[in-house]
Amino acid sequence: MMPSKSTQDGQKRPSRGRGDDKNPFRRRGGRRKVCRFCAEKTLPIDYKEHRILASFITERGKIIPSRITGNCARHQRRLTTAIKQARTAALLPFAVVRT
Amino acid sequence: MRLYEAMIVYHPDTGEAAVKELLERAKQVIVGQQGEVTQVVEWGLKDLAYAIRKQRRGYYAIIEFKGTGTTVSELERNLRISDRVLRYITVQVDPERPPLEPPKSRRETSEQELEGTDETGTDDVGDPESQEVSS
Repeated sequence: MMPSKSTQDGQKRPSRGRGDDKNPFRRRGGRRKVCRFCAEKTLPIDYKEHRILASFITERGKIIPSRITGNCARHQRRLTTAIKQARTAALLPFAVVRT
Repeated sequence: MRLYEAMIVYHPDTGEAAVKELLERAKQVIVGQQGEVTQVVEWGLKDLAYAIRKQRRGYYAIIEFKGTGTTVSELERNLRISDRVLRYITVQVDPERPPLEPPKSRRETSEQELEGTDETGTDDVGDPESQEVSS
């Protein structure tokens, strides 16, 4: 006759080690970032589309790194060029002072 | 011959008729350099992202043209001379891209393109910004 203790143990045994830990290369919480321009092929990267570009700059007007937006290198490169062109045309700010 | 487009920002006090005339003159410069004007689009008065020569607005127009490097430098030289021109930018464009569209109104853009645009933009992005603001 087994002591009731052992059955309880069996069920409640805490998972050892990192049994249900996520893959360490996976981000903690949140969804995987995907390059928006790869996902949405029709989304243009053009200095004239300053409203699209505006979503890739901070409130202060700085370009957001691809590390945060998840853009691929190729598109990030084109994006930064387009943002800089848009700045020259005064479509986007270089800096926003006093938020 | 390559395809270029020049975005020109005119002084807001210029007036529409005078802008049309200035654009006509710019087109003549291009043609005079064996260039070929393929399209002209006017965006009209728009708010500038920052003040240029104390102006907060500007009259935007885009000329698309075929030409060579000398066409571009001659056009830009002429734009630099005019005191009506606040800003210009010339970029080479992909000949395969669709023709220029008339300016999108604020509403249109927010409905169509910004639908998905906002999400990834803002919520992934908030963190580094908030740190910076507080500093």
